[in-house]
Amino acid sequence: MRREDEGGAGVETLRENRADAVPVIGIGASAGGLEALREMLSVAQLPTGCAFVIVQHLDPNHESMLAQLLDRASPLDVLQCEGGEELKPDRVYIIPPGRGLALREGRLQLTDFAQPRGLRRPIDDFFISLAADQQANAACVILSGTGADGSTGLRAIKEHGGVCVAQEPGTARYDGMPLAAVGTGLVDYVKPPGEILGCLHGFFARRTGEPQREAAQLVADHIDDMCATLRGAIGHDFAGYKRSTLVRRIERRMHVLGIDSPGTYLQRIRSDGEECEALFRDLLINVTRFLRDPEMFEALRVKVIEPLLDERAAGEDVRVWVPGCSSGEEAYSIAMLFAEAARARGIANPVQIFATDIDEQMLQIAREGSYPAAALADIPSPLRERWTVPHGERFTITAPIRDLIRFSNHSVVKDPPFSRIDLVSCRNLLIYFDDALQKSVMPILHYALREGGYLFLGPSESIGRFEHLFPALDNHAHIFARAPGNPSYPIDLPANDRRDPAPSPANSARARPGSPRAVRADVAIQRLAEGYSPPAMVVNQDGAVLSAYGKLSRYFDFPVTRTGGSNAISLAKPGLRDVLGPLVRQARDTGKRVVAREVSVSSDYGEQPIEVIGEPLGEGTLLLIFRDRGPFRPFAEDDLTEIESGDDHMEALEEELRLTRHKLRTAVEELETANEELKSSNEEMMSMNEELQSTNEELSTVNDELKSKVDQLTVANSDLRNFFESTELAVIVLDADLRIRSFTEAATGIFPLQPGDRGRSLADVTSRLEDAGYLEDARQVGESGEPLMRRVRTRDGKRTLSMRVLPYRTQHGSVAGATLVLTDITDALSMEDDLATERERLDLAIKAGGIGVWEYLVDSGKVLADATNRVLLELPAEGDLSIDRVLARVHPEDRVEVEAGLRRASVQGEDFEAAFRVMLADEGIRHVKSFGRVTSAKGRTRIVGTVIDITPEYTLAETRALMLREMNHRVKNLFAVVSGMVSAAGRTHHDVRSYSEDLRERISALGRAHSLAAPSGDQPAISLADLVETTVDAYRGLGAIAIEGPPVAIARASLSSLALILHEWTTNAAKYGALREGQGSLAIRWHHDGDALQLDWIERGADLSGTHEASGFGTLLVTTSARQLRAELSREVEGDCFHLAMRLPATVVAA
Amino acid sequence: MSALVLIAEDELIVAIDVESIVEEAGYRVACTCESVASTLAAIERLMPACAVLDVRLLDGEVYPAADVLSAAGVPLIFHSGHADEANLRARYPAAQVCPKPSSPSMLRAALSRALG
Repeated sequence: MRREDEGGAGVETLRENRADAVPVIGIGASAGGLEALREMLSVAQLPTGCAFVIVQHLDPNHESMLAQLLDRASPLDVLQCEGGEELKPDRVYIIPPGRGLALREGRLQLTDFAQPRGLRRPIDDFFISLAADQQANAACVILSGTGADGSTGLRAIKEHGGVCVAQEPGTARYDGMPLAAVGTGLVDYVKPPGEILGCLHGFFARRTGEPQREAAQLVADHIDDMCATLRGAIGHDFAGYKRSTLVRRIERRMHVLGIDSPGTYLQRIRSDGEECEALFRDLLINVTRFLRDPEMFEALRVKVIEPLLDERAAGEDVRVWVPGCSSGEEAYSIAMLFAEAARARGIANPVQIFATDIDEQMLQIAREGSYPAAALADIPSPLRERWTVPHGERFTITAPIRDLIRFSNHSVVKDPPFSRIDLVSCRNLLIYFDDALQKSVMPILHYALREGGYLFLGPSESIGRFEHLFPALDNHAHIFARAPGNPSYPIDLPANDRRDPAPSPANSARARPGSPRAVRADVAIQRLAEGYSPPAMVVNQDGAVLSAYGKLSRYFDFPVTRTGGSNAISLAKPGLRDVLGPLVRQARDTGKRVVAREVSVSSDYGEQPIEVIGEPLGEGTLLLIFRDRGPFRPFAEDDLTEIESGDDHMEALEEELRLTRHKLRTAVEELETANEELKSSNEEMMSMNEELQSTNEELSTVNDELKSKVDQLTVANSDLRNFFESTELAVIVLDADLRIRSFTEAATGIFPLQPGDRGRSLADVTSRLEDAGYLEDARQVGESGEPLMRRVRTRDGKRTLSMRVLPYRTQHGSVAGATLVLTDITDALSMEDDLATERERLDLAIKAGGIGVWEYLVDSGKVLADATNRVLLELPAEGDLSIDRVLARVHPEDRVEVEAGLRRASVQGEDFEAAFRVMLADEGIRHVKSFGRVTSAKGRTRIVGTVIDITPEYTLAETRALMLREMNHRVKNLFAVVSGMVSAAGRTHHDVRSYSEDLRERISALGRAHSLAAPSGDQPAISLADLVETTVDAYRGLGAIAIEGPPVAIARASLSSLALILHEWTTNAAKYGALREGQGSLAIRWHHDGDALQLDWIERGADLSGTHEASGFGTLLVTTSARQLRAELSREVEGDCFHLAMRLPATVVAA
Repeated sequence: MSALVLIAEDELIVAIDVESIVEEAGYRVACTCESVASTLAAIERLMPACAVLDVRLLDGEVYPAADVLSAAGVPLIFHSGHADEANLRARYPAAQVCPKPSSPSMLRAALSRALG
């Protein structure tokens, strides 16, 4: 799980120096990214020489407008990627919505997301493909955004030698992504967006500005010194790491710092502890995750973990060692698997895990056991639920798991190994060591494991030449068992000094004077032995080779591997083999130096005469020195043939086989290394899900908002366009120079504008308006910002327009031009006139009708009343009125009904109608009638109504009723009178004929008298002359009748009585007096006598003997009537003159 | 000694008619008055046993006199064309009302009820 060094050498050789290649800058952004992108790209100066690829979290359901937005903001060409584009400099490619982006061989490819929405990490995905495709030519920039998308990708960029820039978190709208990036410790630059381009430009300029190969060479020259410096400062030796990778990493550091010369850089790291740390960190780029290669861990669980738990002796711990544990994921994975297995078995977890690394910073992360929530996706849910505790964007490993693991600073190469280990999990560590280092590590692991222990390697790691130490248990899962037996190889730990596990940079910078010198002496002796001394070897007393110096191949046949037997005697070539045995024995036995001269060593091609010296070294060891004693004697041609056909044929074949096997193994290893590279890239792509999820979600939210705003804007725009096309308003928008910006369709009726006239000055356009003052108006408004309004007329004078000139305000509030709005108000004006006339009429009608108008606001209880209304209800002429005040004017007896009516109207919406009395100040009563109707506007109920004075009508009606009653009364009275006359006459008459005749005459007389009274019935007086005339009228033919007297009016009350008296007198005259048989004459006279009225009735010339003798009913009537009138009657007969006198009191005469 | 009946009636012929009805029924007419004032004066002189009253007299409505009579416990017979019979009954619950024109038999019956 851990790489102490990343970057496969195989990939590197593929495309090493593309001096002409365009650097590709991948930019990852999310929420708040648009702002940062704008800021970053707007400062670009052409040519940048770089291609840009923007990966922004986009909502897959909406078209993205990012390209258009950025294109406007930046001098670079911005386009949305469609797939298959070849990257060109000075172009910006933007990820399309709903697709992922990858780079293959310099071409962009669209990919489909494998994960559901929310789990996608397009930035990581792209960075990883960018890193793999462009190697050191790649750069990545991480801008504003939430979550941590991009953090894994930048690691990939760094692994392949690219450069990483993060937006300064303080300048980012959302600092989640930049913080996560900076938190990896791998970011080269942290800059505000505006400075990022400059910084990248400088970086790539330095890169391309120097001859690469040469520089690499230069760096290679210094690499040993640099490793020594690092070892001194940090305590870790990178000498055993792959060279090419080291060179690349160091070069990159130099570019980052802007240092050209390796010598300068060497000086820098010698003097600068922090740079040492930075280089160290760069060299130890980590990629790790939980349960990497799940199927292999499953094999580990079944084949190793469960057997270990099942087979251990009671009370014994299971010991696990995880060397190169990095930030701890692998160790935690194993701990969780153990814990889960133990839980399933219901036993206490006996495991103890030692997790080691040389990077203290990583160990610190591992100890905390806190990881980004995105990593949760790697852990199967049962484990996740049981052994992790989520905390928002991060989660922690539970304490029971953490307690199983001891993290410590320890180098597998340098420090003494752990021992009695049951399982060593050493995944993806060995592949980054070169051969020599790998060779030295395997025996260490062998030593550490107990017999029957297990070794768990990464998928591309193999056990190499150590099959005999670690037979495979599961080839596919790379699980090996430790073979029994002690290792037959010495564990050659570097014999250098031990140092503190975690030195401070300051301490580590101190030099150690002793050690380099000692190293050099060793090297000198080694060199001396190999180059300048005769070949020699040390053997034990049995002849087994312990060590060898110089070129011994001429004398011995060494197998290619060290696995064969190593006895010097058996390895010796023919000729020497015979001598060597006795020589060893003799030297061993005697303890003295022994020499064998004239030894002839046979090889395939000839013979070499030598001498062999054996010198005992004590402890049963012997130094054998081989010295040539003469020139090589080649065999004759014949001999050659002979020997070839002999025994050596087999050996040649074997040799060939060995070589082939060796090549094969190298090839396999290389292949596996390359495979591992591919695999790691692949895995990282998969590891990004969850962070992306949250980021993506937030972004989609932001994006949705943006989209909806855009939608709204589109709708608004469309509305505006429709408005412009359809409105009746003539609107012309002018800019500050009075050029036409836009106009409505209606405006063309006044200004003959064509669509192409936009941009023309308004002054150049003719108009139908009377005067051109609008130009001056527009100018004035544009300057002052004050709107103005006036009326204008068309040239033909037919139309009147209202022209409003409004300042055109920009979003920032400044005035940039003016808007002319022309409204045709001709119709409105004429309507206004009509309305005014109508209103006048109405007012007149109201005034003439004495109609008061009122308005009752139900909610506030206010009443608005006009002057007439106020007068009618005797309300004050001015001021606000409340309904209570108005009701107080209503007669108390009517008030309840009025209130009820109002309530019905306001609640049920019925029309209000009421007639009520108003109490007047002079204590009179005014009858009024009011009618109202409910109107509801804006949720407020109002009752609008009128009130009129109906007092005259009321009075009239009252009078009529009174008169009807009176008439009724009189009619009844009349009936009573007639009844009375009927019964009274009945008492005096015995003859029915005369009775009925008399009765009819009297009733008729009464009727005539009554007809004198005016039909209205209230005429107070009747003319006496008329009464007399009427009474005697029927008898005019019977005699001379003279009527004489001043005009006198009789009171109505006296009419009946007077009429009856006159009637009786007349009928008497006709029956018995002057009118009988037409012989006499009658004179009726009256005159005023003081207050009284004297009426004289004089009959002459007839036989008056029987006159007025009758004392029957007639006499009774006359007497009673006279009494009623308070009249005085006198009667006198002188000859033929019959004189009746009646003195009527003043009361009879009408006033 | 037959009972005295007071008649208040401003219409001459009706008065005559009522007088004859009263007398024919065997009572004596105490006085026939045509006005409120004369009625009051008559009562002052002699309280009748019964009174036949028209409501409207020459000088106004008969009520002042009716009140005095009613207070004195004199049975009242209103002989009137006046429409407001309900008003009369409310005002003088004990009184009888014979609306005009009423037949002699009705008046006689009323008189006998009042004096019987």
